[in-house]
Amino acid sequence: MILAADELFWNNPVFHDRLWEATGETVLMMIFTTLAVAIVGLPLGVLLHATSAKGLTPQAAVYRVLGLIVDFGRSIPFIILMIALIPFTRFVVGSALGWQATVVPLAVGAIPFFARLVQNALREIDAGKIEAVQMMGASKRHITLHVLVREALPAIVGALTVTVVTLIGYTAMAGTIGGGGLGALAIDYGYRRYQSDTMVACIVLLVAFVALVQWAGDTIVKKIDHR
Amino acid sequence: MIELRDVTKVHAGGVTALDGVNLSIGAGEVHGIVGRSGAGKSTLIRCLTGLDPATSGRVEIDGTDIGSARGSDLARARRKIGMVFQHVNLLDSRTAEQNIAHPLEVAGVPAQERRRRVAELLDLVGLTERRHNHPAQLSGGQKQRVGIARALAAEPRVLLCDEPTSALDAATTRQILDLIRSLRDRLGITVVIITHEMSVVREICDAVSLLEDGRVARTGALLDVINDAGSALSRDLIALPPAALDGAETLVEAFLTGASGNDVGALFTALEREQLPARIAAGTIETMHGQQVGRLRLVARDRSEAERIAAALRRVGATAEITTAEAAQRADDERFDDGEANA
Repeated sequence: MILAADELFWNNPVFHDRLWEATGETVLMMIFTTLAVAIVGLPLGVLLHATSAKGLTPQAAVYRVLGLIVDFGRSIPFIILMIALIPFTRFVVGSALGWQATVVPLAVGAIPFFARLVQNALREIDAGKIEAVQMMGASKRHITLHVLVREALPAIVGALTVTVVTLIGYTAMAGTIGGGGLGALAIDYGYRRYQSDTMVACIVLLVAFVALVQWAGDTIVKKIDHR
Repeated sequence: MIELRDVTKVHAGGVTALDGVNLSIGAGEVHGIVGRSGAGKSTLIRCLTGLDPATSGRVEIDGTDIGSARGSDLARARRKIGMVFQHVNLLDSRTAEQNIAHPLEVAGVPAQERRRRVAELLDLVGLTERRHNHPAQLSGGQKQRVGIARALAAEPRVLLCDEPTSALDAATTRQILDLIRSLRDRLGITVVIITHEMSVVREICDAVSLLEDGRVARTGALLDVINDAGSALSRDLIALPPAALDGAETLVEAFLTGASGNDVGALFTALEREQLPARIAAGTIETMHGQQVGRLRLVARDRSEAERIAAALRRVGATAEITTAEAAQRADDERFDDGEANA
């Protein structure tokens, strides 16, 4: 076991060789997953709301099927989802290893979660606002984009922030099966090779990530929220 | 301008909210629709807008059958209607200016024309210097003025107001009502106001309809309705301030309108001239459309004295009826107004 007295402690070559690379991987994972979640999850949330009983085009059957799929996705623990998706990941990315491969299960796991949060945000919009715009003779498309999504935007950005923060935790889990990024580094060196300095560095960076994402999210919400 | 024929609305639960409503509202008229909660006021306005179409009957606004219009026809018909809501319903993400421009965007008005029209409307409601503020930065009255400007943006022929002042204080209510009246005078627009506040009807309505249990119990020009002394609606419009009737048993309720050259002051001179020992429990005098209306509640010592007081009042043209304190109290309790009355 490497002890604290070791002269390499806090002077670990892993820091030079792997730490910044791993940090970069985590950043890339987060960026691509966030994009996928926003691009797929937002329309899915809008669709969930639109087809629900309170939506503009209630479609009980469609809503039930969508809801079932979304809840199915949400109910599988991430670590299991990740393993179960390996064939699909290979098909999409070409490999089941590395940060690129981790983006796939991360996105699949987070999209349903985010979609439900979007649906909740849309449901909070006062029906009176929608009626006011209906009275202008507006189309459903206009109401969806310019009233529902626009009015709910602060709540949607808040929901995306929560989702991304959760994802940061998941990237670490992905490290256990060779997912790359800071999580993988913490497990490969901090845990398997008992390098507690690497472990501490990874934790500090992950905490800093969460703080940064939360700060960015709060700042954007503050800027766009006029309530 | 607005015609309702046999309009019936049965809600999904089987409750009949409107039961054969017939109503005719002329162009350029400010028409108040009153009634206690549950009488069908909200349902009626939702039928007028097509937000919740009538089960049967015909709802016609400016020649368009709102009830049968669907899709783009309904959208086009709605552009002839401006709607003012109790809770204003502005979009929080838009500034005052952008909220007012919204109906114009929906109607596809070009940007330049839109800017010109919005500037005009801001001026009309006196909010030019607040145009870049978001609704959260405006007071209740300012929000409602933005709401009215938005309702007028697409130059509608009809302005439907659903409890427009119910969430506002007395001074702001007066401002909003003055604004609505001046708009009617300047634009010749037809205004329908749903309200439970009799003061709103007294202030600005030309005509009034009373809804009761989903039916129109009374409709007519404001003065006609008021001059129909003794009717429930007339009593509600000319309400007495609350006053304790302790000890009193026999009362005389007098009502005199300035119609056909009567002088409301005659109520008092009649009592004085005949030296009747009546005690005034409560009284109210209103001026509406230049006509005075007065109502007195007098306490008499006994039945025969009450008869003499009533006779004296009838001689000056008033209606007078003898009642008991208990009955008068009961009638007051049945008022659906918010209890405010001008002494």
